[in-house]
Amino acid sequence: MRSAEGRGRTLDEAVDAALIELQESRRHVDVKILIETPEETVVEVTVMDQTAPSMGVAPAPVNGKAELARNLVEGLLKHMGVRAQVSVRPGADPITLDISGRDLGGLIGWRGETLRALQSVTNVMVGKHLAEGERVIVDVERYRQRREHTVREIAMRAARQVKMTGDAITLDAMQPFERRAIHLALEGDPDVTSSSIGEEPERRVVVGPRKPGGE
Amino acid sequence: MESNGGSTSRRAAAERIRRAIALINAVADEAGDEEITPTEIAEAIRDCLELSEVDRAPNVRRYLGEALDAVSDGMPADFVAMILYAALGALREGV
Repeated sequence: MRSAEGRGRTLDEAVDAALIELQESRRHVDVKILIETPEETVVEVTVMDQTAPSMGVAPAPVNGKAELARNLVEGLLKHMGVRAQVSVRPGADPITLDISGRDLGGLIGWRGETLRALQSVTNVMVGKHLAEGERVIVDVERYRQRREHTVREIAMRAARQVKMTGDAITLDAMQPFERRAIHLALEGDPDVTSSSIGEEPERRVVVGPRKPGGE
Repeated sequence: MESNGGSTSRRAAAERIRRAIALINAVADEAGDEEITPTEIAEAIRDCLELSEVDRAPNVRRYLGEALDAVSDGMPADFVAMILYAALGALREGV
């Protein structure tokens, strides 16, 4: 797995510096913030594993359920008139299907609504082949993965600010999978805690200082 | 031609359906920060049925009724969500 360190005045500048070194696009990388001060930001950019279904390279071993889900989604997209490749993300748990192709913005929809609907339909279609509680995640052009990375960065920044000021911060309304990513990102931090307030779809994460002796 | 009032009430109906979908998705995606009961989901769907706008487009009331039945029958969250997405689509297309 290739990675590079990037430095810049802002996060974007630091990421761009690392991307130039790696000769990669933003879409295919994972970004970890190492240092963030008002003067300088240092990041570690890692190239994510790429699947290559169109090259005829099948990930081994092939998961039967995942392959079934992949075939169903491929068929569904064909009926919808969408030209795209569907691949199973290797090693992902739960089963994750990656849809890639050109101009797939319509498949993501407003705030990921169409993508979420596609995931619901996929789970209904393959539901009888899945164990209780088992689910299939559908991602288009790694939109979901990129959103998770973005909200994790937001969570880390909020945590740093909370530690500096001691004041709680309320983040923007987010979808459940995004809130989950934030809770998971902060659960190991001994100084801050995260909780959620409000009602769907306006539910927001609050990042606050962890009280001594509290959870 | 549709009046502004019609457009506004359609938006209100769409927002209520989206709220019900958001509740269902929260159950399916397990954010781990809230507990949503089937009763709350059923209430959100009934809120949608209260709007007269759902009768202006074909099938919206039918889909909402089916979603309500699915919640009562304990069907999986994705199944209920799929029916609600159908209702949302019918609302957009029908008026």
